[in-house]
Amino acid sequence: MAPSFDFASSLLCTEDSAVFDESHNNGGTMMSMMGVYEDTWSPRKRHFDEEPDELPLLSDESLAMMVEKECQHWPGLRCLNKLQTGDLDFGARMEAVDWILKVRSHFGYCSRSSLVIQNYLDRFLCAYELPKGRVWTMQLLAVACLSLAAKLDETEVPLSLDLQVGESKFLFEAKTIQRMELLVLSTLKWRMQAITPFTFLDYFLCKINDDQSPLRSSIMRSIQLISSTARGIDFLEFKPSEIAAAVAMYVMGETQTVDTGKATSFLIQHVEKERLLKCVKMIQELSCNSGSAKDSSASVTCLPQSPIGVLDALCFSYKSDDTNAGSSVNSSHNSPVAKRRKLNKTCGADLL
Amino acid sequence: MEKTGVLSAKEAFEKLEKVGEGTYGKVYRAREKATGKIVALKKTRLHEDEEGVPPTTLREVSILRMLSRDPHVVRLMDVKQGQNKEGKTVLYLVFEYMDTDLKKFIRSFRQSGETIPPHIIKVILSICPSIFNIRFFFVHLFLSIWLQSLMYQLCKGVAFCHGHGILHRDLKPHNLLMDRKTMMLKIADLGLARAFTVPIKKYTHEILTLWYRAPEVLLGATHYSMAVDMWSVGCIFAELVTKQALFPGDSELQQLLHIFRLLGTPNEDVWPGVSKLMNWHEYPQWNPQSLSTAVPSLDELGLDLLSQMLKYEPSKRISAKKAMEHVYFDDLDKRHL
Repeated sequence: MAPSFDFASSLLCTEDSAVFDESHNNGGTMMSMMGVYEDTWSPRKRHFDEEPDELPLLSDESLAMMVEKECQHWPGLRCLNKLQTGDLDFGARMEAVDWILKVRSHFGYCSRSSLVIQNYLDRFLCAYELPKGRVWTMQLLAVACLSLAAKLDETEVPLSLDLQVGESKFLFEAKTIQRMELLVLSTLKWRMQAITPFTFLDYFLCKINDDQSPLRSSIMRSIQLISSTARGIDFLEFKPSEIAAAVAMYVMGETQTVDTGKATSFLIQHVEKERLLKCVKMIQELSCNSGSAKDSSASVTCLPQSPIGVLDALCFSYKSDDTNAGSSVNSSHNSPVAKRRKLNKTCGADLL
Repeated sequence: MEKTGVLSAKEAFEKLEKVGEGTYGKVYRAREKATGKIVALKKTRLHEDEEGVPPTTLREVSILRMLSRDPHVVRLMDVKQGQNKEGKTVLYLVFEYMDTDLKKFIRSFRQSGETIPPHIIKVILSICPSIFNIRFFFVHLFLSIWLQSLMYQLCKGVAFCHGHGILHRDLKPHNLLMDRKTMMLKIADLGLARAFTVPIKKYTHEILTLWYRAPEVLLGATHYSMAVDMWSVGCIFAELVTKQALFPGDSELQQLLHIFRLLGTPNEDVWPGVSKLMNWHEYPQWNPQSLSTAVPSLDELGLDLLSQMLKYEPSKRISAKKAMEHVYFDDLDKRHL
């Protein structure tokens, strides 16, 4: 009993790095992944056997509501366009995303958290223009988004200072973060229950697996792929439901356990066929580029193979230049005054 | 949500009276100066030496922003920032105003004496109405008529939350607001609510109110879900009938013992896996009692629905949506609900 429980807990805490033998995928564990009612392991299978029509997570109508609502939370094409045209600082966003991933990993937050944080970041950047040339503002924004996501979804929220790990260039006081939190909240109209691909993933995996619980390895693989889509900007053009459907289809196809045509005919009831197929193709390319499928660090460092990827490389080259290092020092020197003045003005503007 | 940046919270509203106080601040009845509309202002002070926006406020607002369409969830109209006398940042949540809550409503009936079963009232009414005190008679007739309606609205509101992947986790009479004129019921206070469309997730024991807490939570399960809200609904159902709390424990152990004395001490036969839960111990062995001993005036259909809400095994407990379809509600006129 106790060893079994510890094993299960251990699995739950290591979702991104776990490598599973087939023998570890017992029915109970699989059910615990899928089941809403997770008080025990073994009865889960019986539950499914007894009530095959009842889905553990989203019902069909809940899914429809989520698809309807996801556009409220989707930065989408507008954000992608801004990044591509240079209106948004692509490199600064990438740096913020990298920092978010490191911090998330440090605190052991699940993959969904990083998607939620990035959702906040991208929606904010589309709606609000941060002052140009103030590199610390992107860092502060990332800290605020991380703090908000942790409060909303995690069971334990680190203190503001502890949150700022991972070689941050700047260190912000709690009250400064609070002001940025309030700015993010009002800019996003307090719509913080972000809908991400994870909202839909379980439903799609179950449906294209003939309403049976998929293998735990398929779930972990799906989580990994969805997390990989978040770092670059190529997948910003797709809605969360489209990404979830494409990942589910790719992963289940990869294991040769389902009929691809049948899966497609089900999924296109919920997402457009052309966009689904395009997204699957991009997932495939992403998967190939990341080399070892189960090496999460490789996935994290994967660069998108596209013109934007070239731009990305240029940004990195620029950052390694000595001149930039000098600029960085200057920015650090100036940041306290600039930080204080700018935020006061911003908060004042909000209150008027 | 239109942002009216012109007026600060203080300028836009006239506070009329304080109607409540919670962990993070006070609740006022107030009038919006521009429209004359009565609202409820929930004030949350942000301490700059603390960690920013409180998680409970963040969850409540973001969840209410998601659930704003349902008539059985309280409507959040606006969020405004302001400053108090000391210059500290204050948040005002602007809600539609509801004049009472289910706790006060139940208490108002408790003072009018013992319950008379609805079917007895009907018989007496048909035979000899003048025997009884008129006020006493109509109070109980009134309540028996509205019991179904209130319970249906509660199930409908909970089904709406669950359909959006939201657990409330603190359902209790105090958090169920009512309009006495229309007898509309609305779910409120979602500060402990939480989204559950998250893979591989543990939840903590953040639920506060003991009397409405599900046994799997009391026994230490961290992977719980919609069923915990339905347990609370069952406790509220019984309390609406008897006007007394069904399981009024004053500690976690006493809460469990209250439950076990009525429903029997659970074992692996009635609740597979129960003995593996973290807080499981050896408990006194009680046999299950009939629910009618605890809720004597509820009819057979109501007792059946209640028993399905109070199943030990969470996966066997009735869902809010299925509860709405239960035959107990068949003769209820649902057109306006």
